[in-house]
Amino acid sequence: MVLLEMIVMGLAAGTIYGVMALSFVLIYRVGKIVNIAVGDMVLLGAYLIFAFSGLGLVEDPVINLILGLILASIFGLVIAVGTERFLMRPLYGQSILSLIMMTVALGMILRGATIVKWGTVLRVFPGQHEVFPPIPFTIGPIEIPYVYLWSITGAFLIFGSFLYLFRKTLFGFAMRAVSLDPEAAATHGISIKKIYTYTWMIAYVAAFLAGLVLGAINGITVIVSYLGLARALPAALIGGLDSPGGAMLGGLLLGLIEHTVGTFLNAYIPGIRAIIPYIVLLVVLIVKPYGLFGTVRIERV
Amino acid sequence: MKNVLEVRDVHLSFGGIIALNGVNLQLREGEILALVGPNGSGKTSLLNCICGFYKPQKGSIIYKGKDITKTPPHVRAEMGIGRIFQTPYIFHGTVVDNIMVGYVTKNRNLMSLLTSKSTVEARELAEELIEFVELEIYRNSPAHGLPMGIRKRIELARVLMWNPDTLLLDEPTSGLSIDEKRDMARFILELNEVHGKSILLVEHDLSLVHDIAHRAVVMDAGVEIAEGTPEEVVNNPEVIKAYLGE
Repeated sequence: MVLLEMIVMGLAAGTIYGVMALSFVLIYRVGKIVNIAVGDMVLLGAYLIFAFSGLGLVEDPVINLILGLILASIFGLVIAVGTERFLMRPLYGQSILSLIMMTVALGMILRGATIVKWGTVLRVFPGQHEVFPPIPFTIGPIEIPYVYLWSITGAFLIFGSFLYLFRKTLFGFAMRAVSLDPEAAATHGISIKKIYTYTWMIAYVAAFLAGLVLGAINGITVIVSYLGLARALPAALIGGLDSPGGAMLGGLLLGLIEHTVGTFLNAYIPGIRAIIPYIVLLVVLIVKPYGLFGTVRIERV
Repeated sequence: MKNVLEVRDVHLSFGGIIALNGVNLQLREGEILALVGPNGSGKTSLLNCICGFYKPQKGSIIYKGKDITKTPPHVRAEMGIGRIFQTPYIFHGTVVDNIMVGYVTKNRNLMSLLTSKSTVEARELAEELIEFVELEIYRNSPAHGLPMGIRKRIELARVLMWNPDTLLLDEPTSGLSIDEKRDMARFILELNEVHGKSILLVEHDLSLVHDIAHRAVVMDAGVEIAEGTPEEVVNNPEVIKAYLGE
């Protein structure tokens, strides 16, 4: 029964790793940018949700927090426009390293901004204990903390919406076309700058949702940023850097192994749970260098 | 006939390599103009300059009387220029998905691109074009692994989604069998004669050029060396020299 609970918890945690990995993978797939700032986007999201829900626009704490998430996401759309227009666009056509360094700078800017505005003191979301009660939710014999219900629901909504967008709408077709060859897509009438901007928007919203869940689990502090990157990166690499579906499966696999094998081994080797994601990553990359679902590149010589 | 497209004194170089060295060209409304020349003569580079893929260092591109030299590629498409590549540009998805994406050029509003209404409209239009390029049996097949001839038709159908007036066709028959070449020539002629498209055709197959083009321009080493009817240019001594040497 403990094992079953660990599996459920692992999968639940994995959903949010998957959402962060999706944010990471999208930017890579469409813009070929390795976004090191993903953890800091998660952190910014947590603080913005904290700030907007702190306004207390409605009395009900659950609706208040959801409203906080919505307002933070709207704010995130504006930041996404700024990120693409002022930080990334001037570097298109430059080396991959320049783009990576720009995301490092973006991460520092976002993290620095949160420290300037909110300091380094641990904070919790307004009404957190009412929204995420300390008594876990029970399904039969299994107990799950409430925050994971949010995680599962949020991940389901964002991943489902994204899959619909990517596979069924013209906008998704345009994203896929740009991800294959931006210049050719532009020649076929697609504004690549717009597609890049919208991709950053989706990435920010996904990261902000993760910020809500990680902030609720760990408290809102700069550690959320490190946790974000430390889980998004291996989940994305395990799934395959350019596969949105792989990102979610990578996240689920990571959560599952972390909460089962990691928890089990942690009793014998304290602290190993924290490095389990990277051990899994190493094994996957040795066996399948492009990740479980990544595109295998074939180059003509 | 008035000119729909004019290339004026276009220069393009990559580092020390000169790809285009003062090229001039006029595409008249409703004609098929063939652009021929040996490999490396600058034909594809010229097409890339016209569609905005490359920015020439000097010279200008005039489309319907408007200077589009600095216009972004997606806006040029919206203005009525459709280009197909020598190696078809096909993303992972079905044949119909790959064609439908051309609708984005017709309708730029993000919100409408998310609605099922525009998807339905795009699908209806794509179905018409699938019939035009005779790909009915491939409609829902994954496009990426299909043979070259099929992928070229997919790309042609995608470009036709936004109903461009002018088509830039980069070696549309290269890598095709004789039957496939005949079909492609038929599509090009129908687009020109029935739908009134002006077509700039880069082509190595001189017999095809002879059969379907109204005029031909020959390029060599980044410059235009001959212009005239297909019969005239193939007998031009400069052209023979460019292809066969001294």
